[in-house]
Amino acid sequence: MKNKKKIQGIKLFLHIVPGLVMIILFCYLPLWGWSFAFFQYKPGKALLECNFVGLQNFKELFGNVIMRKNLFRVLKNTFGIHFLGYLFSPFPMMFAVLLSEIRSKKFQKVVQTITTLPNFISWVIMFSLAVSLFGANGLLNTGFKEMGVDVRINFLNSDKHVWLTQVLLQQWKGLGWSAIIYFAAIAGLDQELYEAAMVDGAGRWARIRFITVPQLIPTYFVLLIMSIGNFLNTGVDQYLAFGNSLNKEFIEVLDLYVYHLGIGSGQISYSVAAGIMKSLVAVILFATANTASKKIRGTSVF
Amino acid sequence: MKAKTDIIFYIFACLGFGLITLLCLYPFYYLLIATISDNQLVNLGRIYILPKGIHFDNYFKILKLQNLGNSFTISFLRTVIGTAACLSVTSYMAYFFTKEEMWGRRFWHRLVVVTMYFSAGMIPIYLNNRMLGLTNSFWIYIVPNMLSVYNMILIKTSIEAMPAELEESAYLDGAGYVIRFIRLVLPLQKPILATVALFQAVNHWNDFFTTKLYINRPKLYTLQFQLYELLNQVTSASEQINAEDPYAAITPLGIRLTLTAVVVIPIMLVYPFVQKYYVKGVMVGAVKG
Amino acid sequence: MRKRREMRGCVLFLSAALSAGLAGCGSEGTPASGDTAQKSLSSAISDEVVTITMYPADANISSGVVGGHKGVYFADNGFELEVWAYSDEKTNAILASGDLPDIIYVSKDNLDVMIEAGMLLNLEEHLDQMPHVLAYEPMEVALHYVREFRSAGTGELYALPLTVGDNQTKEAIADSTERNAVKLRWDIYEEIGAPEIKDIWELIDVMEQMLAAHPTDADSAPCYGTVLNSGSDTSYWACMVMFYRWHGYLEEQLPYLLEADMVNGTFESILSEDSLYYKGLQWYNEVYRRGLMDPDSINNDRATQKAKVDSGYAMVPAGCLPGWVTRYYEYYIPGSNIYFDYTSKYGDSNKVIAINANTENLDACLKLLDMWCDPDAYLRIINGPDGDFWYSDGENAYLTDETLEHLRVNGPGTGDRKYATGEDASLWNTSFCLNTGAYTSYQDGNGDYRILRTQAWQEAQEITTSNETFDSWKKTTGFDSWKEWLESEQAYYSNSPLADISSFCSKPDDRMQLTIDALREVVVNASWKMVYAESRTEFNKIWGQMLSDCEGLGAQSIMDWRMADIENAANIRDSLQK
Repeated sequence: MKNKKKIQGIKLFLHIVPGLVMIILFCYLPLWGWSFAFFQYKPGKALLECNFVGLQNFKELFGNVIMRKNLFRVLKNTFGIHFLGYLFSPFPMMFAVLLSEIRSKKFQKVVQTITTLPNFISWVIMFSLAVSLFGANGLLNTGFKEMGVDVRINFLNSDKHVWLTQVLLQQWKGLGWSAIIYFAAIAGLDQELYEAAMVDGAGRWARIRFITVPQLIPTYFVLLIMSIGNFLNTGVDQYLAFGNSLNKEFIEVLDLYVYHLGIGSGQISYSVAAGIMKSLVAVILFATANTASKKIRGTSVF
Repeated sequence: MKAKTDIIFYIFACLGFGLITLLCLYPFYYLLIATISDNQLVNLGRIYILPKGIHFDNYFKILKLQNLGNSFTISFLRTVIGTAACLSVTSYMAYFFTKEEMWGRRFWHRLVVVTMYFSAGMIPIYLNNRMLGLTNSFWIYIVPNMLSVYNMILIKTSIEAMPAELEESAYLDGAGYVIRFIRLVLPLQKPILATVALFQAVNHWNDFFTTKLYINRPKLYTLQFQLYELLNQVTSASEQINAEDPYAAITPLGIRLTLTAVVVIPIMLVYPFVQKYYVKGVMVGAVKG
Repeated sequence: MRKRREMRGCVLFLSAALSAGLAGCGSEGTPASGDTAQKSLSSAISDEVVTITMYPADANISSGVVGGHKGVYFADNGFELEVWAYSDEKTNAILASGDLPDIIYVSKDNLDVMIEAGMLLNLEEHLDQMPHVLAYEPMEVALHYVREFRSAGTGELYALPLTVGDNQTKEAIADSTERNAVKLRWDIYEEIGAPEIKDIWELIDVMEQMLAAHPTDADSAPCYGTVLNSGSDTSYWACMVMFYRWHGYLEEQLPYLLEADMVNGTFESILSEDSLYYKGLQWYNEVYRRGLMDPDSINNDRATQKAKVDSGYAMVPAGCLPGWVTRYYEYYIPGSNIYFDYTSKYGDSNKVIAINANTENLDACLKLLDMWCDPDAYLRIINGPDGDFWYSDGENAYLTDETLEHLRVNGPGTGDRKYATGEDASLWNTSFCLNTGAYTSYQDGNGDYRILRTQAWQEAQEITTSNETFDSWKKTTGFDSWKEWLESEQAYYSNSPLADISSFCSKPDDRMQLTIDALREVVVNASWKMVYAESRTEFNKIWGQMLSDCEGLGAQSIMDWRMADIENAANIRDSLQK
């Protein structure tokens, strides 16, 4: 009996072998490139001809007091913006749930389509749009001037409420797109449960609270855990577009800081060193979130 | 009583959604009017609600690009083949990872999942792909992306939410793994598969970095890359010290807006086809009998 | 369900077939409509035409096969040029993999590595196949320089220098010192009575008066005293560029926190309250606090600032973009010095052009490099074939009537000009080995040789500089040209003890570069904050913080290193000149 099970298990394993080979080929094999961080690599030179410097690159990235202070600052910003983002993370789910309650399918489809549009508009364009609306000569301020009101909005140049502004901008851009997955999940729910509930006399809110939301929670948590692993990776685009010297104190996240240090195309060794550290932190964060989820909810992604 | 709260809910909901829709529509509307407005006015930030100085030069400039038809074809092929390939492989892997009896399932699963969080770096990946013979070939667009781990987790979660009795009844009928996967699981996972297909298709359609790095032959350029190239040229030209740039009427911002419009519109045309999978009721009657 | 599978299968199969066909088939790429010259290219060739690939220095030329009239010209010389798309990532990929194109523009940072790896062809034994290189006079010094300093120590020629020689501005009638002058919106300046401006602070007062006289333009868009931008900040705070140029300083050494007084020949640290940098910050801050600066300056990118300045919204252009349109004309502030050197003795200090050591089309590559040193070829490539935009009678060359008419109507830009074949005039801005002031073999009918840029020909300039504003400028100032005014004040310097130093300076290693980048972040951010400071105390506080941050990062050691390097460079340069 046990043998049969084992053979069954191996047969199953054989099914995924091609996929595993791909993963190993494309994700693990190139990891030899992490050795760049321990040399002073210059593209064009064979790796072994470059100077071996051990952990020096890592030390130099964080060795100086001012740079450590900067690093602390950018990590604070990254954490702050992400935490605030997590506060907003149930919004796509609520959006999808409430929209599904509207009876008119056409209305649902139209709203769904239109709310995904901002996702395709790059941050650079969003920024120039924001300037033309909220800038010193933008629509709002010119309007105030003409109406004689003495209020001036200038959040683009101010370092107050930076985290909130950036997170709100993210919501504006990403709400519709993030909601797609919840629409898919809702579409897959068993209608019979609803019919049974209605027969039992459950109203709209009761149905949402006891049927819809509990079934969406697993998806929500899976997405949450996966995004915790990406904590340090915010991408540069949004902050590069909206960042300037006046709000840098609060808007500079880790990726932007690394980008500004010119660690991009030029200094490969430093960028690989920074990449290694970020990967290590990401894996640790993800594993922690996963373990926590297992302990608290009994399910996990791993 | 119930009807009254219902009506209040409806009013608030419609107002709320209407507002959100308008807020989301405005950037796109701005895009459209800005691309047909005078480019200098757009640069000066003076276009808000109505277009001013209407012209279509931005679009003409793009239409006049050499090779446009070819790059559109490449983009289209890449999106279709790439999405189909990715969907097949990813859902296949997701299904088998749900099987607890697999030998070493936890280990292999972790091996795969953890790859989401590290990257070997641009140059080693480039050299790796070069070694595999993928540079300057159409397959660089398809092969490295065939297994998308993030989407695999989504599909796996969705399959695990399916009631186990469904598969058990098919198993008792004598169906093997692959048959159960194709005949039973896939049709029931239509919503999530449609979603993953949408995500992948959009990624393929929007990507230009792959072409930037791996392709030298213009025959294999994608549409996005060609447009991105145009943007770079116009930006470069506008940064020349000389006042006499022939692109003065066409500004980088103008091109950027136009190419966004050109790229987004096909996606919007395809989107309604995906939406039909979000209709409630796919699961009705699945467990009956 | 089965139907869907089948459909998917069909689509997959069809797509695979199509793609296999595409991947396997021969040359494709239909030319754009109107590009009839491309067709004549393929049909009229009797000799074999080889294809050579090129990787440019910048994104400013389109990738793909060069067609149109340029393509015809290249084909007549036996080759077809295919350009690869430029990007920083691609440069690294090319270096790491060693898959070079036939011709490559090499940045000086990568040159040594490439020579040592044997990637570049040694040009010494092929110089005789490039007669124009040897015939161009300013090349001799530049080649000597490349052999000594751009050869990874081998002393041999592995690349050719770029933009060697004089700039076309030596022939300019009007604007002949580019950014290096204070410019005013002349019509408004005359409106307020053309008051005398005695120093840089009075300039602010005049700016205020001008703005008061003209607060908005015709469309009621607001005007400003000056407009800046933050998009040009690369390795230093770009807004300081023009302020430096107004005083005869250069900003080249700003990444190392040094400012260069070109007239007196000294380098000073910017981290002191005596520095011109500090004065510039005070000046900009004063402009801001008096409400004369565009408050969106920090959000402007270069294109936006250019749009605003070119539309005339700035009374006094500053930052790094002067007004190049004919609304702005120069003013000489007494006591200032203007340094403008239009000669590039050693060529572009950042890049060179080289041939792949493993190229299969050596003759074609050499032909191209030779073409890059031929002023007649430059004229032909940039301005089209003889008889279209320009024509020659063998000895002399003139502009065609259509060109002159176009200049009268549209000004200097090529705009929507078309060649006789219907092809659009497009910008071909790749660097040649020659600078824009080289002389062709054509004359102008009066015995003087023609420069290879038609915009600099006398008849073209006469049209583009004849306008009311310039006439009234001449009347008010009493001079016929800016150069004349400067020379009458003895304030024009075209030589400097510090000229060409950067060509001989060395590159900092990676660790130093990291510190330099960190310093740049500190200085650029502090500079912006100081410009936007609402009060004197805030201004001083930020300055103090900047100084202490720089000190903490180790600025002094960077500056010392650079000063020593500069002294060394000066010695090398002097020894070369003997």
